[in-house]
Amino acid sequence: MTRIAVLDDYLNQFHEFADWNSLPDECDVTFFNEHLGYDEATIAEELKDFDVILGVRERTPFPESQIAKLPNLKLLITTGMHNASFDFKGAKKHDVVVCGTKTLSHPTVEHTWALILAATKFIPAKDQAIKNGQWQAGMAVGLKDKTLGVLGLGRLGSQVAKIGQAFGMNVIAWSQNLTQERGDEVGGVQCVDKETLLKEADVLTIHYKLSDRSRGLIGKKEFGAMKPSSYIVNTSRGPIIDEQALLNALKNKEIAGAAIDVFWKEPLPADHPIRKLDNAVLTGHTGYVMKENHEVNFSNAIEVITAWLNGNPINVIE
Amino acid sequence: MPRIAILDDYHEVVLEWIDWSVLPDDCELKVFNRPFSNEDDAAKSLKGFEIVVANRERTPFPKTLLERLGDLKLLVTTNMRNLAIDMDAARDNGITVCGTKVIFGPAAEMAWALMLALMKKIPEENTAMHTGGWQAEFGHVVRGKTLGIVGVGKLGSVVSKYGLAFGMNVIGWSQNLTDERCAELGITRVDKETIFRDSDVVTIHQLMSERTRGLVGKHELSLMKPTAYLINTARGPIIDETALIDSLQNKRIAGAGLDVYDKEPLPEDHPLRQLDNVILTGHTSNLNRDNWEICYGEALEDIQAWLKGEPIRVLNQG
Repeated sequence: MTRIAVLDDYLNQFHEFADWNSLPDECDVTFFNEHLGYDEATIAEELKDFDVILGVRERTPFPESQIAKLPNLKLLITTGMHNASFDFKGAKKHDVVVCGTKTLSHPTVEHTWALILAATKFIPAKDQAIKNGQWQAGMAVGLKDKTLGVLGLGRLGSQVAKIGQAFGMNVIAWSQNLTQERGDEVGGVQCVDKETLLKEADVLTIHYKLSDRSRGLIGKKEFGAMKPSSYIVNTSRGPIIDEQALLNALKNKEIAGAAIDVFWKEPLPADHPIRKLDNAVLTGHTGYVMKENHEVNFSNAIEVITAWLNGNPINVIE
Repeated sequence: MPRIAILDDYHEVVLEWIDWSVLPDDCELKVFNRPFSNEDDAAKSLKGFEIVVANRERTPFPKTLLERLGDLKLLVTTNMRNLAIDMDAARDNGITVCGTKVIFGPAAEMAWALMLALMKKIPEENTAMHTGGWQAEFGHVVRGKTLGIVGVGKLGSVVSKYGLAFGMNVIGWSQNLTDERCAELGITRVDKETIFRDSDVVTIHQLMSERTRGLVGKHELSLMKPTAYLINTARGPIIDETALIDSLQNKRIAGAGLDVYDKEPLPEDHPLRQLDNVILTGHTSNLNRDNWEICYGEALEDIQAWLKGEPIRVLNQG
């Protein structure tokens, strides 16, 4: 029998998103509805009997030290083909095959825009006000003719930029090594230096890979350069923004607001101070948590498990 | 000494954002920050004012009220249309009514903000995050869904661009809509039944008139998919509110995003406020600073011109 653990099914719905019965008969699938926490010994105890572990991107981490505590583990799968919290090399050392799944990129692009609009139109606050018996709460900020600053003009950043243009925004972009050629290829995006990006953006949105180079890319100095009327949006990776600098910028109204989907530690600790700030619109890394996306993730995961059982693994991450 | 009343400045921003000191020294300015409780209250409060600056569709000026305002000579409204002012009765009582420009497009941005907030569950997520939670609900992907625009005029056309930028299939209906116009926009013209039956999101961008009152009634709502959303940032009475509440209570549609209502401000005990499948904002689509500066800046010009005996932007001439 092959025992399969599907982790972090917080909403208890993963079983509906794919035809798990199509797995070979020898497979036995267990869904975990609670986050397993951060203690490696506890996680190891919970997962010690499983041959296959399917984790959702950046929920339960698998550093080498954790993998070493799981002697039965043979196949580790992440949704998506990137996962900053899985140690792929470490897994290899312990003869664990690591595979990814197909995933959609547009849910994150759409989520970015949902956050930009929610923050600039104060949707959560206004909705709450009406449901509490009030009428109008707060003005809205118009987007047309304003400047959208895109930090990172890759696959996601360029899609976000195109939508900005549909809103009649002036779109500027910066990243290390970004050339105007790329801006022209995306179409109508002006590539500027980092200082100009920070100074001119009315909405700054981050679409950058997390690496040692991008950790803390937006810190105290950068918030200081931004307009007091501006908004920052992060659907990329939490640590790209310096945690303390963001908290300070919001508390001191150095910027007008933030819309944040990704955090320094996920799930975000229940007592984290950002949860208390009324100029932060927050979602819990749900940018990709769409029914339609999980259907793609899990249907593909079933194919990955089946291929591995047949001795021909697919979507292997080296 | 002309006495000037500025009405319905709920956000208390009109004095801060506009420089009224350019008016002649003998003008006296009074700002009302709360709505009048009824017509009697309005008549009493506005006694002695020669000039009134009204905000579109907040305090109504029916014949019965205009006849009681013996001192009123100039009534300025934001926007060049105001259905809440009886233009003929104003003329009969010797009152000149002048309008102002408004920025075009905030209602389109608001419609999109409401749609994305509904589909991505932003208020629920944001509330969960501000109360210690993590990942409350699954959202929906927008790309590939069908957007139905009811009223493909200026605003509807702007919204069609957003829909196309999000990779939606965009269909449109309005009386007199031509295939040529649809071809220019890159959308498909359909009949009224089809737009309600086929759309995943229906968004209303009609002008208010006797012809459009109750345009979306029980029958139209019954055609909609149980998974579909309805957005209204146009005018409340275009949708039969009783039929909509019935549909929402019985989950015959997935949800609604509303900025406008039959009666505004929305009564405190209104059943819409009790529903969990709606996102509500208080007719705030045009409430943004850029717009306010234009509206009240032009209202000031209207007053200056009228004081010189050369009224501009007169809405009840002839």
